[in-house]
Amino acid sequence: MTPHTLAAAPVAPRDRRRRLLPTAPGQYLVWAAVALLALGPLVPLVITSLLSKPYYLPGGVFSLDAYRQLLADPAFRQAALNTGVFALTATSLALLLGATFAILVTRTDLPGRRWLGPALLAPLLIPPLGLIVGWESLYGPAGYLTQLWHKNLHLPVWNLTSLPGMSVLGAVVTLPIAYVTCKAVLEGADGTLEDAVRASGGGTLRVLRTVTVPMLRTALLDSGMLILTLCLEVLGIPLFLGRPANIGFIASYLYDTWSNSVLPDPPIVSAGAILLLVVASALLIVRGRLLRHAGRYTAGTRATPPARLLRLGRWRRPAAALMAGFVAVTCVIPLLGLALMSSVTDLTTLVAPWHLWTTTNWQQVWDDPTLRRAITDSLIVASAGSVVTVALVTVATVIAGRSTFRLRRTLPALLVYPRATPGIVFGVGFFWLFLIVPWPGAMLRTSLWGELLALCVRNMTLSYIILAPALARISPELARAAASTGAGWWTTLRRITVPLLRPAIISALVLMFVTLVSDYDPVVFLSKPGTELLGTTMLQTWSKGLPGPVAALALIQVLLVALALAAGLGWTARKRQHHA
Amino acid sequence: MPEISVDRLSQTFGSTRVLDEVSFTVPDGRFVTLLGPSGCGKTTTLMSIAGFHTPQGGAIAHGDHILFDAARRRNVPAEQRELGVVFQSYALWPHLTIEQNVGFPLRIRRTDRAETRRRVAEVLDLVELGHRAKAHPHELSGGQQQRVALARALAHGPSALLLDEPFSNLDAKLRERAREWLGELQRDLGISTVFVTHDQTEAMAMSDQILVMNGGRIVRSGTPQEVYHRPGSRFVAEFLGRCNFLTGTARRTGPGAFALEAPGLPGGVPFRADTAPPPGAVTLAVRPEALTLHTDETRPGWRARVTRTTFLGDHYLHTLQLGPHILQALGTRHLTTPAVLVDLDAGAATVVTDDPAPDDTAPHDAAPSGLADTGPVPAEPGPPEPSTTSRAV
Repeated sequence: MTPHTLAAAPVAPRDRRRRLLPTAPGQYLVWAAVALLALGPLVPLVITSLLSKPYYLPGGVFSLDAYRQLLADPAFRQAALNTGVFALTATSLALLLGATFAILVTRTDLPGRRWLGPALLAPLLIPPLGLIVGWESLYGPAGYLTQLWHKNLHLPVWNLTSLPGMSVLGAVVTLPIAYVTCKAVLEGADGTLEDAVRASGGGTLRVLRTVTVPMLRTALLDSGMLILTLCLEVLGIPLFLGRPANIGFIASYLYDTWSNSVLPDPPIVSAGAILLLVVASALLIVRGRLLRHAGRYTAGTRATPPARLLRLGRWRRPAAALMAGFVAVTCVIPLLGLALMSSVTDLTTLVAPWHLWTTTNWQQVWDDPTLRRAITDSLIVASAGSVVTVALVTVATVIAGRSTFRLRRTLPALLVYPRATPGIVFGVGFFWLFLIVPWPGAMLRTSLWGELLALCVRNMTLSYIILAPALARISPELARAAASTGAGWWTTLRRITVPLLRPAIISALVLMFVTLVSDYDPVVFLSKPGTELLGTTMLQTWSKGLPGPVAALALIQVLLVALALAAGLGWTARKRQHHA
Repeated sequence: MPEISVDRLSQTFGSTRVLDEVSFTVPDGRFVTLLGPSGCGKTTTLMSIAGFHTPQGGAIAHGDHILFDAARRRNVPAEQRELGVVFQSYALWPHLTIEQNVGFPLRIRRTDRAETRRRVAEVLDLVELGHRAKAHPHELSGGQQQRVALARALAHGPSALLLDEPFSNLDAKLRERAREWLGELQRDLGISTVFVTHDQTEAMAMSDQILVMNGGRIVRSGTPQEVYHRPGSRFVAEFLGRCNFLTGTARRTGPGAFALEAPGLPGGVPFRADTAPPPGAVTLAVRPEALTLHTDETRPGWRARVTRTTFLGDHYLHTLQLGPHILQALGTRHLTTPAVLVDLDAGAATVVTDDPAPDDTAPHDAAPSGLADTGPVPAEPGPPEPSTTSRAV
């Protein structure tokens, strides 16, 4: 190598660094914002549930009446029982199907598993209300396909508006969670374990029985507890499907009590929300306990796929057909049903649809200021909300994972907990928070921003679960290297960590946008004339008995989601091309 | 450039002492290496100097600048320590070009554009990568990435350089070249450098001073020659290369001169020590290259039998049976007969303690090198020592 030209150590250039943001105060600010947003709605919930009268009425004293009244109400007991039956049935079904599909996609030679796998995730992205309306319009008691099946083919018919019927829909909606969890375990597992069974002479069934299925035990437990928690708080299914058959769930009981009560804003709703919260938290604690030793059940070795996929033999085609049929019946056909319903005056088997062709529904969406405002408001909430939330959660995630901030260990819990809380609990909590704290509560309560806040806080968990693993994959030495060259914490965040997180930030933005467009349960107690959102407007329009515009709005939701996904995928594809 | 002084750093995790009163000084412009097996605390020590680890006790100063002092609750953040750090993974930012990577320390110091450009070019030329300025890190080879990391560490003109196993990701051939090159650069720049490695060859080839660490403490320090020839403890002797150990009892033969009595070694093994070894078993360390094998009956030597010979390319490794002892010797010639005579180089045997005790940290605990020449003569055998053990490594 050539001799060096510099004989002396290089002289340091002048240091003109400005210390704009001291590290700790900024971090405290972010932490305080997250803690306030996540825990803020809970405090008024507890207070109002323990008062004898609504908070704003004079003469309220401390009392447990609300809880007593709630537990004594036979309608609530029935709702609790229904919720329990629904949650258990839906969870079992979702686990069974999710695990089966995961094994079929990752471990067998199923034809077409490359596209069947991603297709199974569709219910995660299709707006839930749209899916429910689509199901109702096709498979409901008066649904198009039910009629076709029953009246024209005279075959025995199913009943969607029953507990088993609703459980099936609940399982379809939550199945992707079980599928994704099981798939991750199977893909991360040591495939040589399966090869070892084969090498000792075991056949396909033995491999499944001795290795593959036992390996899924923790994944099933984990996703099962999560699905159960989600099923407890389901609001859309009982509102759309349960109401005609008079089947109430806890969430719909609270919603109805709130909307129909003689006395506005009764404490009983707060009490019910607290009970729901307690049950959900207990389930999550149990889940944490059960999974404490999860490491014991995972192979510590590097993930290697098994040498050979399980042969399905003559079951290959039937299995693929069944799976494709499942995707079609649960997702594709309901979306087509939505499209059909939004374009006809009445969806019936008695008259051919093309005779009933109409643009009235779409016209109404365009003309009715309420419906139009629902679209624009939802767009504003989704765009502004996703940007603000992802920005806050990104900083909070980096503080939690890459700082010496004193309270950093509390951040993951604060960020995960809002999504684990039932949505309507959050909604009631925010309602009271805005009422009790006059500033800025009054301003938030009367404007769209209150709804935006509730939706964003409730869903910030989703950004966190995308950003946290992405941050964990970035070597901590990259940030240390920045510090070693003289960069402060905030400079490192801006110049190094955030640019490296960019792909995850884009994914989080897309997911947040998609969720904010379709989520509705945190805002059912906050919506008011003038600040409608898509979800709440669909609920109200449906209860007025106008399915056509609801279908049109649902399709608009689907369209917005599709656009956001396409934009995200397009960005990723362009980046990949750029790097190749 | 000021010296770095590390004073009694300590750290415990649970019941494990990760750092146990680690103290040392890096003299101005010197190359000091922390050498030890993984988990010995060397990287923790380096990261404490860099500011990425906060020990529970002790102090670190850089000239007059106190970087860390547990007693006075003073801890200068890493970004204000003005040191250059090269990480094991190089930690080059993948989203920035080489130029931007190296210019980053200047950019955050708001150095003006022209000067930044000039300076980046200068430092990149120093590491011979001026022509790759526009490339991204992933387009560079491992050796080039390592040099970029070094350029980035030097760009803001740090007053000391901290290197965390910078060669561990390079292949053997490249590692040797990078070693020479870095040593040369460090000498030319005259920058105080702390280097962490678990590779004893690397440490000996590059350092002015080696600090051998084990179990969170410095067990031996000195120049590479001192540490190699006078390891002081069994652990250091083994860690720095092949070594034979002979255990027996010491007999005084003159002022400062002793002989180790052990079966199969008639006449004893001569060694020197400033203080008399304690009564009881004494262990001597003898490097394999200090043993000479010959068949000349007129020259002194112990009778031994070669049980195995391994060809290692530039030399042969002979395994010898010498009474109850099994020893290893390095030679350049292939031996034709298994029966040989073994001669020991003068002054090559040195006392080692069995486990690294705190007094091992004293830098000059072994005998000076000018040793009186009393070669092993076949004479009357010493009294047999039943507890004698020997081990060849």
